[in-house]
This record gives sequence, C-alpha cells and structure tokens, in this order.
Amino acid sequence: MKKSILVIMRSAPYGQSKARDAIDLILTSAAYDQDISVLFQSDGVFQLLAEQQPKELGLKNVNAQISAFEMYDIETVYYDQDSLLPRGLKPEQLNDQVKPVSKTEIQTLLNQADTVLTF
Amino acid sequence: MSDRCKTFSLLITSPPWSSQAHITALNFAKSIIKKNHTLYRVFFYSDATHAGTNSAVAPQDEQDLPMEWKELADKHNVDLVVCISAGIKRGILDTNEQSRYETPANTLNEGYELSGLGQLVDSIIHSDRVISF
Repeated sequence: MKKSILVIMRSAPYGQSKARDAIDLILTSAAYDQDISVLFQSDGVFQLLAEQQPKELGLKNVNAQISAFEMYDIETVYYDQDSLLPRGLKPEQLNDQVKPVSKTEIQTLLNQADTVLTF
Repeated sequence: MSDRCKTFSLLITSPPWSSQAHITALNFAKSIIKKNHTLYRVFFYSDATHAGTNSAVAPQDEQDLPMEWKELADKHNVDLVVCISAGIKRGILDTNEQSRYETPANTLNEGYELSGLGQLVDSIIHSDRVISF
C-alpha cells in the first residue's frame, strides 16, 4: 500500500539531530516505495545552503544528502519562499534542486498528504 | 462519524526525562485506548529511545515513564518499537545486538522491540493518523 507522506523540516541543520533523523526517515520511506514530499520551512531552509561546510563540526553535510534525494526518486522537494527574507537568505544561495512554494501551494501540499511529520 | 474508531500510531522523538512532550505522548496513548480507538504502534526515535532501557531507575517522586509504557504494553498489547539505529548508539541493545557488538549487557526493557525505521513506515501505512511528539 502506498501513502502520501509530507515531511516538514523546520530545524536548522546542525544544532540538533532533527535534520539527520528526518533524512533517514525520508530515505527509508522512499525505499519502501511511499509517495514522499519534503517541505523546508522556517529555520529548516538553512539546511539548503549550498555553501555549508559542516566538516568543521565533524558532521555530515545535510545539503549533500538532500541533493541525493533525486537518486531515490524523491522529486517533490520544496521550500517555503516566505522563510527566506526574515533570515537574510536569497534563492540563489540554496540547493537548486529544491523548488520554492507559496503559502497557497503549502496549503495544497498539506491537504494532499495522508500523513504529515514535522522535524 | 465522530464515534468511528480510528487506528493511531505515535512517533516519539522527545526524551523521557527532560521533556513535557514525552509525558503528553503517554497520556495521549492512554486516551486512545480509553476512547476505544486502536493504538497500532508506538515508535521511539531519536532521544525518545531512552524510554526503552531496562537500566533506568526513576526517583520515587517522579513519574516512571519507561515503566508506564511497559505497563500499557502488557495490559493492552501495544507494540512498542525502539528504533535500532537511534537506540544502539544510546546504549539500548537487545540480546542480538549485545552479542553482535559484544557489549556487557542486554539493556532493552521487556515489552519493547528493537527494529528499523521500516516499522515506522509500516505504521504510517497501517494507521489513519500518525501523531508526533
């Protein structure tokens, strides 16, 4: 059976393990052939910064793992466009595989999902 | 429609000893059972896996969450699953993992099972609602 799962990433990449935990769940869901979408929102958009260098922290690059979503056929990956301005971020600083969405499009994503999990 | 019984699963990531969310999850689980809904599975992930230890001793004046989960499982046959990758790095090992990694003791509490994230995906597939805490 296939379910539509929306994972909302609301946490910055390295202060805690939420991003890594969510990525493990996303990849597992894809391996089990579920219909998975990902939305980066609020501080979660920091996970998409292309120039991040977590080697300094002894941690794996979260954005590199997000770039690998395509290989798992996870193609519905979005960020909340309204989360950028308050954080001083610009679209060109982010992972270009991830598409911007508006508040209205987020409503649609939420309505379409069978299960929503927030990390 | 409001009386229709639903199947729930819980995803808990919050730690048992230092968060309100974990206590709320336990209370929510009790309410699901009380209201005659089905609790398909409780999946302990991240710091919530500490609930699955057999080696924690709760102070007398504090709620013993690991024990309360176990009692809930014993009484109502609830499936308590501790994420294996999150659990073993926090020292929660069943007899299989204990012998595999040659650690001193089996630290998984009775009533809990150590298994993979696939069990969480299975909960999503088989539940009407998955609630995170």
